[in-house]
Amino acid sequence: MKDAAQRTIKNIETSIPILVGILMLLSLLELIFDQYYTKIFTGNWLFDPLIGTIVGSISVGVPVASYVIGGQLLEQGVTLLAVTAFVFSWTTVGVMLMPLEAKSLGKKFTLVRNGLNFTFSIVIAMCLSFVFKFL
Amino acid sequence: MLSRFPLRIKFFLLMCLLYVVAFIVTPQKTMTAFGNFVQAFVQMLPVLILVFLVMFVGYIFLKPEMIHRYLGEDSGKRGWFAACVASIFFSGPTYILFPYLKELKAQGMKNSLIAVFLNNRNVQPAFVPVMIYYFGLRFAVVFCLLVLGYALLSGLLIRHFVGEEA
Repeated sequence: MKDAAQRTIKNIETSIPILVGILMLLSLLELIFDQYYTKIFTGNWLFDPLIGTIVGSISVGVPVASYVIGGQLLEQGVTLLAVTAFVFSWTTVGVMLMPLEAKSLGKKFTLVRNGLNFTFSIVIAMCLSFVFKFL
Repeated sequence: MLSRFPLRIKFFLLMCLLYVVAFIVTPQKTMTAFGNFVQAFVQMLPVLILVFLVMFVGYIFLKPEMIHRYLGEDSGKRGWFAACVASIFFSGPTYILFPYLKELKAQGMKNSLIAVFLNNRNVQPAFVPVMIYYFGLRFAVVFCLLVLGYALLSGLLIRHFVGEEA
């Protein structure tokens, strides 16, 4: 029980400053870029998830941070296609962590896993948006 | 002096500094942004409390030795199921996982199971309430199913392209 409490507190200590910082940044960026989002994300089935995937791939952090950012972006008019790809690639593709991953699990494994995840993050976003058209 | 702070604190301090600079340049807009931030944070707070409660309960029942027992050498078909379950309940950051997975790999964990474990990390009970809060229940259900399906597929693809022990 004590160990569980300590691990939870450590997680809170790690997550809260990042989450608060991200929310602060997004609130500020919202005022500046609000009118541009709809121009960048037009609902294109390839371009939108591609941008979402690229941004998600170079980002690092706990998965919950991607939900916060994704939710805010969705509110600001970014398409579901882009946001889904962003959230998916946030945890599955780690460009910044590739050297560490390669050192621990091997170069080939790292390149193939991240390459597959990058491609499938676009596919998953398309699938989800397609399913949503019928739900 | 700043170098002794962890990266997350530096990031937070940088955001505070950004607000100070923005306030000097455009006070009205910065105050609006700050108001939006406070509102968003207060709205998120109950969900965050739930997240950490679920995390706490998860830590009580899930021990690292259990992951080792079910994902190690000779885990067989049970290992695929165990990889999915273990990734669902492990909520730490990925970079902590790599050295641990390296150790498990040295003890016989297959590449396919490592891929399943790493790629299924979007489906975590502790974070699902936040996902539902921001995207709705419908999104959460479909997204989690797609992630789970892809995690298993990625295991097969890694086995095909990389092999089990490369």
